[in-house]
Amino acid sequence: MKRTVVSLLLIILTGTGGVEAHAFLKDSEPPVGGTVQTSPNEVRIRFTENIEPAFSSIQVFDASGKEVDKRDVHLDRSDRALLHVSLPRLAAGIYKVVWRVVSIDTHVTNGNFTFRVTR
Amino acid sequence: MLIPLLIIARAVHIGTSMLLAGTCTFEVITLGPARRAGSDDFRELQRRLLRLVRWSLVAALLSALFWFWLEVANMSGLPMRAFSVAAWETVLFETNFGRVWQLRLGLIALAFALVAISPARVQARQALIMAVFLISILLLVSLAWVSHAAAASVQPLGLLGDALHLCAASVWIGGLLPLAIFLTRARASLSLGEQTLPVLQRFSTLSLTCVGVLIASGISNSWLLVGSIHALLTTRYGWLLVAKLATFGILVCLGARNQFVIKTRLTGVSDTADLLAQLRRNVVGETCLALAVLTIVACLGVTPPARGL
Repeated sequence: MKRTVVSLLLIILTGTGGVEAHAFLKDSEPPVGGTVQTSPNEVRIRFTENIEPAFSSIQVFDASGKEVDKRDVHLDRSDRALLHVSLPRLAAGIYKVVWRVVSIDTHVTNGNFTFRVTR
Repeated sequence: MLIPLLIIARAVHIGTSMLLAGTCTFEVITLGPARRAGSDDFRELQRRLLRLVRWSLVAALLSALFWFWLEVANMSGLPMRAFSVAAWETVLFETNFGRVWQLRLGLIALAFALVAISPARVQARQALIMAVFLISILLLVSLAWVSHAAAASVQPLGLLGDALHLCAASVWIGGLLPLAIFLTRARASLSLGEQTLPVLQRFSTLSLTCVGVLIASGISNSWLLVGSIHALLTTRYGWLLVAKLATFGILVCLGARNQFVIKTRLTGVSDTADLLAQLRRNVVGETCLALAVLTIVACLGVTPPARGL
């Protein structure tokens, strides 16, 4: 009986370890894996939950791994689930977006995606 | 390692907050008119309940600090042993969790100051217990702002449902330990023994009301956070919720057994010592099941709600 209880507790405690994330990417501009004709002014990502700006970030890297965004990540004024970061004029190429956010209920999520600029 | 520690911190902090509210509710509402009895045994019972309130506050404070420390590591991504004043300040002053924690720590400090006074006059003591009772309810309600309910899309239904759920659980589950203390004292005291039946009747009525509130708010919360039967049966959040519901069902059955069987016998038997002992054993059993529910609740708190998947 004791073994069963201990096993169940271990399953519960360790089983939740891989899923600490709560705010998931809902949509983005440029879209995940998408192609845009001209350089976008910013990257916008909307999440499934309201997020904490203090510990949330979006970084954009070019093909050589150099960070190209303006490092001015900020929350949207009217939507606490929408995060922006400004971009300079981007040359044609593939860019990688890396994001990490803390949701309002304190859970951390991260992820990445790419988009292509054609000219 | 962080997630198991967060589960432990959540379980202990929610549990002690519930125990604090449950003990205050027991003294203010469940004991009710029996508080005026004024016998030495009754004063001894009140001293024990006050001691329970103090220890609940100590445990609530320590677990609040532990939880905060873990959240700083969780949000900042820094190792747990790394102490960063900047990260602590950012969490405390620039996040929703930090603002709620400022309120909670302030309320705990206020409650500490109140229970340290221990006035000699009965009326002053009752006013003090009432004040601590109100603080304990605020402590419970504020927990909703750091739960999944805070991120639910439908507001204020999410926060209201969670706050009601916490309050109802505290009045019932949090009242079990003070009830066990009362029953232990009642076995050896004539004056307290006379109060057993009315106290049990009030606790039963309160518990029954709480079960109703728990079911209604539980359905509302499940709709917001799970959304469908399919999600209930196919996600980790759903499985945990099913485990919680099953344990809750057993708890309700035990409570019903206490109410309908033992209490009925208590009214017709002159020698009640054995029945009180049996009732106390059942209450201790319910408390153990409540600890299991609390662990599941803490696990739910770190698991993504099924609706978001």
